Amino acid sequence: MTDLPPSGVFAFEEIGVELDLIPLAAHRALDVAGRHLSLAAWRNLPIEKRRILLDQGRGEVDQKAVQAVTDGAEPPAEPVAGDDEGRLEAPPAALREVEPTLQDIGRWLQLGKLERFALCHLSSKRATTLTSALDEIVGPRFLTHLSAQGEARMVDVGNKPKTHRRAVASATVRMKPTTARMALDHSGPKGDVLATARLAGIMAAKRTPDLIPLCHPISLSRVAVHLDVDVDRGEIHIKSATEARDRTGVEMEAMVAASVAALTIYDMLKAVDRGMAVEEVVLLEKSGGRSGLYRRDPGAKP
Amino acid sequence: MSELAAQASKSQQSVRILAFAGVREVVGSDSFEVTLAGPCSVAELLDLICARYPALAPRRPSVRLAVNGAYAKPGEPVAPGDEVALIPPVAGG
Repeated sequence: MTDLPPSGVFAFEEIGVELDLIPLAAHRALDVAGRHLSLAAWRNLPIEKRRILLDQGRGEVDQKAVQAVTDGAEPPAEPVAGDDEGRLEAPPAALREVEPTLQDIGRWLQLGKLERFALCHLSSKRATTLTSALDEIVGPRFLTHLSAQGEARMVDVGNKPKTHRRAVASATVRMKPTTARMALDHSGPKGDVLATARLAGIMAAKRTPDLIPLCHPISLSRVAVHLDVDVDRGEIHIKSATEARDRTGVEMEAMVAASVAALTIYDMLKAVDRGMAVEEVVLLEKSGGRSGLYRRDPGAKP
Repeated sequence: MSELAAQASKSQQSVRILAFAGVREVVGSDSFEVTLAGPCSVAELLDLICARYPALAPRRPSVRLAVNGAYAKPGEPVAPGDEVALIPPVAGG
């Protein structure tokens, strides 16, 4: 099974290429064409026919084409009233409550029919996947940091609940092996590299809102910085972990901690190795909040 | 299952379980009912099903549950009247 969902299937549906459940796009095609298929009937359809229904739901639905596919279904498809999709013109109240950015009807109509169908469908069923669906469909499309005129602003988090937040970030400093040996031996020109870098990372995390323009001040409950020296490869690996119980995430705090620890290593050793490089500052993991858990795929290239 | 029987199950404290592929073979039918003592999670429902059909236990880690047509995580709730499908993994890569 491939990692990417088939075209027309949303990632949050977690339906693979064999289409073992009825995807929302197929639900839409069936609704418009006025046919109901049980899960058993869907699974009895040959995969090519399931793909046809999936495909139909992605654009303008050809009712006759959908009906032709379902005519051979076993158990037979039930005729139901066809959906003229008039209700997709405006988001239902329940949906607007959960996602206030959809109060703006212009933004709602920027979404495609399949996306609007999916959100209405999940909202009416009070599905547990509605939150993931909103993140996938609405999240990336409406950049919440830019106002209508493209002015940058801090997002209003006042209504968000405080939840437990955690983030882990890493950075690597590349240097000559002899330089790395100095860091380990505490024989660098400016003194104890590792202890200084660790402290710098921790202190920097606490100042993140002053450094990153649109970050919110957060009450950090924990900051930890861990350093690992690999003399043979000439690398120092930094890992930072941050925690808070707050309204917004602590990813930037973790990334600032890792970055500043790295820069401090550079400062402490630059007299003996100006060619050092700060590399690969990445978020490894975050948890908490509406978007939930993220874990970096170890094989991924940014 | 007939329409009447389906409606009857909705009014009791029971959940209709649909069995597919390999699960169907173990259970010996394409659907069955489970009576719930109260609100229950997907994981707890799987416990009940495996208790009734011990031959399903070895497959348990690879069977996914869909509640009312969408995959559900082990901690999510199952309520009387829900339709639950047991989906074994597709064979092959």
